Amino acid sequence: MSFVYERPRTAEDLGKLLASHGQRACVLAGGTDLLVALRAGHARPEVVADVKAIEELRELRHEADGRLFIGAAVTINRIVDDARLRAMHGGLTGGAGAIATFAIRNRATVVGNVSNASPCADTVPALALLGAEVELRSATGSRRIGLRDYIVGVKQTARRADEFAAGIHVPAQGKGTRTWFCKRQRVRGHDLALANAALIHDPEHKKLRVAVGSCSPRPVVVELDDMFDKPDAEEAAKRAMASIAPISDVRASAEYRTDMTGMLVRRLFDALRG
Amino acid sequence: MTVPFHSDKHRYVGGNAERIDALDKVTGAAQYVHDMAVPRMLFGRMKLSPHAHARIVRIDTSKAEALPGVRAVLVGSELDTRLGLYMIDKFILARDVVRYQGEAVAAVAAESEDIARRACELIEIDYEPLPAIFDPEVALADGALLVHPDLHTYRYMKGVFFPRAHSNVAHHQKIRKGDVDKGFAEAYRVFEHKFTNPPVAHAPLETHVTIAQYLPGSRAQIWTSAQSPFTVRNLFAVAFGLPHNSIRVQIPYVGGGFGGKAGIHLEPLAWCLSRKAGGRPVKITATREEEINTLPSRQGLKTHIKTGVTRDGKITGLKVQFLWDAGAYADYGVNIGRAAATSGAGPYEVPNCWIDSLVVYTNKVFGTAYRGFGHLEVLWGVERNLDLIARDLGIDPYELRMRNVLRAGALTITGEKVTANHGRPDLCLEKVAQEIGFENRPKEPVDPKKLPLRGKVRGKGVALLQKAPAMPVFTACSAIIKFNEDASVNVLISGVDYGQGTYTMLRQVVAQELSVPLDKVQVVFDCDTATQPYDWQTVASRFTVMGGNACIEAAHDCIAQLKHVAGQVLRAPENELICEDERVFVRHTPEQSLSYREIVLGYTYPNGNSIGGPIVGRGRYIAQGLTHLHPETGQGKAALDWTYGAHGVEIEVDLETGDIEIVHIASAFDVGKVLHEGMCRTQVQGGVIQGLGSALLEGFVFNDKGRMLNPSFVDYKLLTAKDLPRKMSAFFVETPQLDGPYGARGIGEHPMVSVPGAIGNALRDALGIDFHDLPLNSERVYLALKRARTAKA
Amino acid sequence: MEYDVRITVNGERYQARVPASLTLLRMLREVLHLTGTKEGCSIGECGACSVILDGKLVNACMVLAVECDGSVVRTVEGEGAMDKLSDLQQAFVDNHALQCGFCTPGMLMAARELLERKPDPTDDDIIEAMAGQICRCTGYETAIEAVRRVARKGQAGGGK
Repeated sequence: MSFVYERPRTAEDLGKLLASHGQRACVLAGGTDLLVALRAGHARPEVVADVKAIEELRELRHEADGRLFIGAAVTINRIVDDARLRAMHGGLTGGAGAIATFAIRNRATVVGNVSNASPCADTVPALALLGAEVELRSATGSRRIGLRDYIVGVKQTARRADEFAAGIHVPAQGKGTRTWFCKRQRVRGHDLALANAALIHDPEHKKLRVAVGSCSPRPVVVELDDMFDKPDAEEAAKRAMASIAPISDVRASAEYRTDMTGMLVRRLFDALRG
Repeated sequence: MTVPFHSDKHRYVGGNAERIDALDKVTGAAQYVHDMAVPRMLFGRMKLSPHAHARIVRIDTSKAEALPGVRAVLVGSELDTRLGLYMIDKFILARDVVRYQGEAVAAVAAESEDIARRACELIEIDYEPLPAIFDPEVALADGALLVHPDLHTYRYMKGVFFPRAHSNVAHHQKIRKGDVDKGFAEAYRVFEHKFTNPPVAHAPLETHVTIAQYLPGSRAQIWTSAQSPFTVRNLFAVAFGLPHNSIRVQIPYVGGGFGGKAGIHLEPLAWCLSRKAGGRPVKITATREEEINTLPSRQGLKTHIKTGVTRDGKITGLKVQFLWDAGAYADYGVNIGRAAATSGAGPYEVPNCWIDSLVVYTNKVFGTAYRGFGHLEVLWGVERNLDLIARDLGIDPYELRMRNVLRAGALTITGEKVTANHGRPDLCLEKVAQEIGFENRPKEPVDPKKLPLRGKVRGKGVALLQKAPAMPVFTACSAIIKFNEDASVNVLISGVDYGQGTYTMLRQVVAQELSVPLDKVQVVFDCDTATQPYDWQTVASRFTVMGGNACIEAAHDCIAQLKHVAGQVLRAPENELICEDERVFVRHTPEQSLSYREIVLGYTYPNGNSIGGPIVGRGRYIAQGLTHLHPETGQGKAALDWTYGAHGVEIEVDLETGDIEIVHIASAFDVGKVLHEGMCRTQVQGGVIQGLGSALLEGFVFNDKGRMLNPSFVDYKLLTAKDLPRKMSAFFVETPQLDGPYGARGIGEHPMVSVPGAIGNALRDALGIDFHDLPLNSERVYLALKRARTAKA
Repeated sequence: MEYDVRITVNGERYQARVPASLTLLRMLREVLHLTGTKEGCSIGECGACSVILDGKLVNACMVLAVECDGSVVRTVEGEGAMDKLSDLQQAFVDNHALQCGFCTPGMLMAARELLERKPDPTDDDIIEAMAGQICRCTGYETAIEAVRRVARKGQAGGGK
């Protein structure tokens, strides 16, 4: 396991590095997934490019109009600790706060959580509901891609080898929008979700949606706008359970995952009712 | 000078002094083998089998050998030494056949961890996969494939263990008492129930690690994270045919063991690598995944219990089959099958008893000792069984237990007569039932069909437990107390304190007996077979009794020597002297005295003449009264001391998720005498939480090819600080053990035993559903409830 | 590739040349011989390697040493002074909050970081902070209680 460690200062330099090394390079942000993969031999990069010295990627930016930018080097705990964000997007900070342990959250990043493309990523359900877009950059340009299109499968994203995820853009939400997050795990201590879910309630646009994680290769969003005026938890739970395609594995059976998805939706509706 | 003469009082024993190892451990100064490096040390690493059962067709190590920095590569065909505690059944590296996924097949020693890792990747092995067997019940069937076709040729401890040739049975333990058919004939009803436990991991925070060096003349220097220095040495000597004194085993601080480090594991491999690498020391550190998947675990168990009872709930007959899932090698497993069978009825009087305890080979990671030595597993079935019977008979489970519990005069299932000094399981049960308000729970049975879909319900359960050390009849221990210049002492003993707090307790015992302040007593942490006196093994909660007694005798030996010298100086007969507060007094005229300091290295008269010499006390203890068990009936005296206990638990179950929250768990143990308040209490806390892990969460999961699916902390979850009971309480009953130090008994393992039974019984109380299989994880509870809701009446 | 890493550990400055793949944990233990910090799983699950890196609690197994060039690290060896235990260490001793001791350095670091961040922690704060530290021996309660005691004392004395 021998590789070159690069610590570019600018996004341009990072773009150039990836342009020349492509698939032989790994981007390092928090490292909490990459170091596990390095140890297991699942990742064998020739170059590891650390994004943490790039000033603009360390930005967590609240725009005046309510838009949000989460740079690739922003740690999970930075968004958990952001009071404004907590008030605005409880589903996102709630999901973030449910990841692993406090020490891990001090290193792990939001962009990393998303880009690892694990079905059980706890920030993904809320980000999916918020209409988040991932900004992909390369030496030749940049593009934005919706989160649900970014994650193309288990551990697979739409990122090209010469690109890096510079950050996540969250659009401004309708007035009074709120989100919640709920997670099912085997212990109360740190664990990967066997099912997780978020709920968005946007009174301005009469939007009511649930996103479910851990139960499909890609995040599932269930539209419930039709019941905005008369939220029906049981019906919502049913629809969510019908929308997922869970597997049985060491963490849970498909049946339990399905039923727990229903449970999570019911609890999210409890939260909605306050 | 006033002399209090308080030597008859327990000044230190029963106190709550700080741990002897605390300072080293809070400062990071404590050195574990994990932390050690020795000059010219190489790093060893194992290549593991991906198959549960396969023939090794070809191994090509040439690429690994060619890698710069590789100093030795070993494969099984170079090592024809078989190892084993009781059944000599395991090669150091698999030869010809691999018997479980995760088994070591080849090994490398290299200049760095990274090179060793890379070299292992470069070893090419071709396997021919063979059919494999994962269920002990299947393995028991006629014509089942054999995990060890050559079992009939293996060497084993004869007269104690009974392997069955040309089968997968590594040991068959029989217990036969009375006439079980007669017992069933007399019964008002006969019940049959089955229970299971999965194999689980010990998960000490320090994984197995060893540094071994081949020394000229076929000698061995070994540093290892192990529980039993003399057992490592003995098995090593036997395996390689070496004189015992050519092997030196040293054990510094150990980061947890729980039985998993009781035997011998990585030491022989590291030494063989060192031998091949020209005598350079080799360190092998198990990764966490190897700790779980390659090193041994707790065995799985299938229990089938048939119970005959009278109308008022007295047990008339008990017939039990225990099927132990030994995995690929027997290790401690055969002795667990033996020892746990002697507890197979629990702490109850059973007039007619028939137990077959079969330890069965399968193609899974092998089992070994784990805190409780089979008792958590066995008592899961025993304690659930009683609640099932109680319900069907309409008798309160508490009452049913009280009607059958062992009391003075009763005969155990191995024919041991219970006396007034055995300890009082009934008092333990009474205490915990009272603490959780067992009497006040709603008595009408819950119908799961009528439970709401959401919300929480509560339930209460109790369970009893018992355990005695499982050990050979000749189990012995010795202690040496050496005086230093300032009349402080070093205590040399070879039971290892890997966290239990034994040395903290022994310091009290020695201080008490020598009448010196606690800080004058150092129990030496580095165990060294070259310098420390013999001890069998640090297992079985045996060290309080055996180590305590050895230390008391060693202290008395010191006192006799002190008096012998002082008597000459003070011109008094030795029986007229009293040792108190670091001085030797003449009883009649206490103003005549000598300080220990004046005597311990020899007394010098004013004119320069000197007498005496350095005082070294020697103590020893050998288990008293044990007998071999009769091969056909299991009758005999298997136990030195029984520690009885009970748990009472109140739980809250989330009906929508199946989550169990522990509202209160109360635990009581008859420890004979609390020697150290804090050590007893912390053993209970830690043990109960470990028991909760077994109850709620832990267990290996394998796929249909026998590959372990949860070999790391990602999916082998342990309870965390967030998962604690809302309330835990510990109580101690003190019925003195006649031959225990100050009346004490062991308490190390017992706290985790029967925790699952208590939870399972509380779950029945809460949901009206009976659970037979561990763990009681949320999914299992939820799905059982879901099925029960929709089941036809 | 190998890199020069300048790092301050417990107030002492070190410089070492390390391969890019070396974790901070292995650098502390194998290069600087600060073996108080333990390795329990190497994948960020057990917390035995918890240290305070530039003021933040991290699992040293999840950080590359090269990432720490110019950083300040605190480990158990820097907790308390020679022959003078810190309040936390003393509370762990007084409360028998350790058994085998292998998780203790990580526990102390997690607790120390908490008390600096929140001198007046609630019980939930303490549990959240300690929940990443796996202990197989103690069952946690004694350690939680030790942190509670120090927090209470700090409160009485006006905090740090």
